[in-house]
Amino acid sequence: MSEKISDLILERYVAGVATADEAARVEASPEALARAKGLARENTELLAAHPPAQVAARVVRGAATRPSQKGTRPLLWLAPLVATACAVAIFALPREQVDVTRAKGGKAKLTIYRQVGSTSEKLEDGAVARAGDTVQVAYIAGENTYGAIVSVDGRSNVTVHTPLTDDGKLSQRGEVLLPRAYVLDDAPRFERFVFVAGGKPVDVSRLRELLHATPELDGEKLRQALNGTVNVFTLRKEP
Amino acid sequence: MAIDIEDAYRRFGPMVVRRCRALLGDQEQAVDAMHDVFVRLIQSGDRLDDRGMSSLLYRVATNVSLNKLRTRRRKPENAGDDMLAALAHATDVEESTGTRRLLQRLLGGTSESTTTMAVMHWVDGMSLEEVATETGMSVSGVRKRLRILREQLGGQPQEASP
Repeated sequence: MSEKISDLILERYVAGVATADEAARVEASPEALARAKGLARENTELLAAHPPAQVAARVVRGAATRPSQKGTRPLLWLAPLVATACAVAIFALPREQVDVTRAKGGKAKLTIYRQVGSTSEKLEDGAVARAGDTVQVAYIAGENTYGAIVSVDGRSNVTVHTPLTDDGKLSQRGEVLLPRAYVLDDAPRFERFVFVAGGKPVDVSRLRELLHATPELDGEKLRQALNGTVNVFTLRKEP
Repeated sequence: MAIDIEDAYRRFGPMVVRRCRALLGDQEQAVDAMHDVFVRLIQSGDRLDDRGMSSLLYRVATNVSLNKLRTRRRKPENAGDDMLAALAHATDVEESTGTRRLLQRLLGGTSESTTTMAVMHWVDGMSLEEVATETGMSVSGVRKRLRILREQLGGQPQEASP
């Protein structure tokens, strides 16, 4: 009677990660080898029924919207672009940058990351950016319950990034990555990201109007108009 | 360093689906659970070699499936389901009573890892040695945890005859 081979060992054999001893045990058992062939066949069927690009896209969306069990958040690139991407790579931020306990409390903060090859870089306010750059927006709510993030480009086009919820509340889970990254277009001169936060819901329509009318309206005037703390992050566009 | 989720799914996704399907008894729910498993992989941020990733995914698939079973509370459809339901319920009891902390102290770790060991041993039929290897514990440690869990379950299940 042949040795019982566990499903896990068999799976490892099929995936090509079994140890030499495990592989020898499988190959010594005709019954196990037959099971392995069946698994390999099903692998092909499952991957055809659930294509890797589609699964990866759904996983990325899920990771962006669900709280992490460890209290950390991955930096996700290209969530809306995965259908055309060759591969979906998830870049984990260094732990210290997303530690929830450190991030709680204090002031609201807006951070922009840019994808650089297979890594990311944290940008400084005023950094140079170009059309085609992929950027990821992140915020820390601090002591603020409500907030909104809007961007405006050199053509006065305004994009509302948050609020993400109907009630306009911010997540309090430390640094929060917006669920999608953005590829900058060829709008000239600048891309300004404005984060308004406070103890009351932000008037997003008003914020949008103000920025559309005066894209470079300074933060102090925005603060006075909207009665909230204002973080402005400007990327200088160069060809 | 990046976790290429598409590559990880291509290599281990079918294994995860099968693992979830074996515990949940439903293909559609297994595929849904598989997505949850890979979300957890991303969120873990762990740096793993291929073998480590297969172990982690297998364990997480077990945990995710048990959680879904606990939520579903479906009526067992066969004898194997009785065991799974009991193990899922065991975790539920631990989380819903003040004994959880005590139990975790007794077990020396998380209840989730213990139920995973229990499924590997009592449901999958893996030996104590194999479970110990997979979980990075000693055989005696695995045996102790399972003994305590068995007592929590009122004496069930019995050890399989050698």
